[in-house]
Amino acid sequence: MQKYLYSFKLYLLTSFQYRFDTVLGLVMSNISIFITIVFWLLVYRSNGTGVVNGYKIADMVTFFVVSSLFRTFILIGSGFEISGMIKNGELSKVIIKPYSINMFLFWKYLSNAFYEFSKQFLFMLLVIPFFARYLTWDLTVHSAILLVICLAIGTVISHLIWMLLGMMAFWLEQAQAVMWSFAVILNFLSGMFIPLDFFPRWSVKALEMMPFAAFSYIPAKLYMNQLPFIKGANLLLVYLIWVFVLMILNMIVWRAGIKKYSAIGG
Amino acid sequence: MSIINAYNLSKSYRIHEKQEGVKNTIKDFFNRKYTYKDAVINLNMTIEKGEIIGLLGENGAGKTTTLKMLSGILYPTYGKVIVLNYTPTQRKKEFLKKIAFVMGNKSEINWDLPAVDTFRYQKLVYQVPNELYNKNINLLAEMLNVKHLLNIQLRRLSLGERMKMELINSFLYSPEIVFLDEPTIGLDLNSQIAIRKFLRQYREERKTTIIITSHYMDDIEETCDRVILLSKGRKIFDGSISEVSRLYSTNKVLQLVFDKAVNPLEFAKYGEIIEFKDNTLKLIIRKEQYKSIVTELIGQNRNITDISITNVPFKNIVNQIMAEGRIS
Repeated sequence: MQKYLYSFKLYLLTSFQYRFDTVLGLVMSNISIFITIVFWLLVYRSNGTGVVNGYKIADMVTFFVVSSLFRTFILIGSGFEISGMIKNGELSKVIIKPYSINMFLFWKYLSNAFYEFSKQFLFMLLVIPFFARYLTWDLTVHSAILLVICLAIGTVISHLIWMLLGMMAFWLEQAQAVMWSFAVILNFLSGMFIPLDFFPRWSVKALEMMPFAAFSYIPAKLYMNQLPFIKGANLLLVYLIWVFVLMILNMIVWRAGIKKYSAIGG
Repeated sequence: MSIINAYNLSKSYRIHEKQEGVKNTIKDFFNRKYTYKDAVINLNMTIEKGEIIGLLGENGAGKTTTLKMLSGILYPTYGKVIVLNYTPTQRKKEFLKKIAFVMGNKSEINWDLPAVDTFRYQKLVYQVPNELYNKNINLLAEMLNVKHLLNIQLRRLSLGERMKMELINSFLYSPEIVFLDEPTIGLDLNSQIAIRKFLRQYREERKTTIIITSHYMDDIEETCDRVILLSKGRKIFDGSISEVSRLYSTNKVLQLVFDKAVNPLEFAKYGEIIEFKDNTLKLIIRKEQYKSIVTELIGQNRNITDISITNVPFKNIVNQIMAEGRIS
């Protein structure tokens, strides 16, 4: 475990090597969330009623602000890195290390996620005084506990899903197009563009039980205190089952794929 | 005691072939053509503990593929490998802790941080005790003369310095077997010499088994006890460097030193002139003729002050074998 924690620290240190990039990233990485907020403010202004599908303007802004923060823990990088490693032969370097490649990439991208989260969070703290009236502050201790657990499980799920997608490179060699297509679908199903309860009522329950909901939708709902504790706890159990299933799938795909690996390049 | 055993080791790759041009690209998109390339064919070899082995061969001869099968990166298509009593492709942790693989064209050290940060990580990955870690870092950095560079961001170092850091990274956990794939590729002469010296010295002290591939014959000649020549995936020779010369060199180098300027072309009838400077002429002559040529030259008044006969340099012999693809 110590080695993974050290790699976590190592990649965090790497992130701070380039000062200008770090400072610029602090501002630039928050641009998309501001565009989203402006978009919804305009929607509410033109709507005139102040409520869209049960969401008041403060609910909507809060949903997207906290979702954006939580989404930094989606470890999409794991998938793209493993796919690149398989394609260009870089996997050879890590395959003969006495550690788990899955864990190595998890901690590497978790480190990156913490860095991105800190950047966004710091920036939010700086600008919150200017739009505090557009945010809700209903988080309870119970919800906070569930939220942290849900985020942790969601992070693991995202890593395992992206690893599975990345390992398609064992068969496809170039898996980028497939991965980007999946990225759009996964983002949509995780509530990145619109909250999942905007979907038809019959589908919401199924969508909430899908592993993608754990990335940001359910944590955001927990933050907004809009999810009963029991329901939240039950969903966490479902997500834990997903972790187990995805771990088994990762193991099967890795074992089959590694035999296909051609370790290209010198 | 042999620690690497390979039996009938073979590896073939499926290769996608495509003709040039737009039309062929479209055609290929719908109808892919694959061929199979045999990278290694029926390779048998045994390596003893503490040996330094040179794997030689032209580009595509199967050197790197062999190393990758021995280290567990690639599954053989046929055959069997046993390394340190393990099957490499099972990649057992105890096995992986005993081997190191340095790839001349792939860096393992974090580019954005000083090498010492990666070394610390390597220490944890390989569970190196503090005392041994400090001892090894000091020893290796001193042997490679890079102690003053350990805290400098890797990307700021020269190619040669970076390769030395890669070597430290791979040797710091005292592996029993080290695979070196083109460790001196692209390095200047001084760095090449330093690395060769390091390998020899390290092996003497630690009895580590080293398997090295290189296109620089000096790397092989100056570090290896034994060479394995591969050509088109097949082993064509396995033996000591002196044996290569004995078996394959049909020539000798004749060196004549004159006390005044001469016309070198007068000696072209004896063999191929390879060098003429400072009144010294070097010729490659047939091995079986050298006695008669020397007797003839001594008998004539040719202003010769010194005559010497040496073996043809190792690299010339290997190049000749590779060019002819001769099989032992």
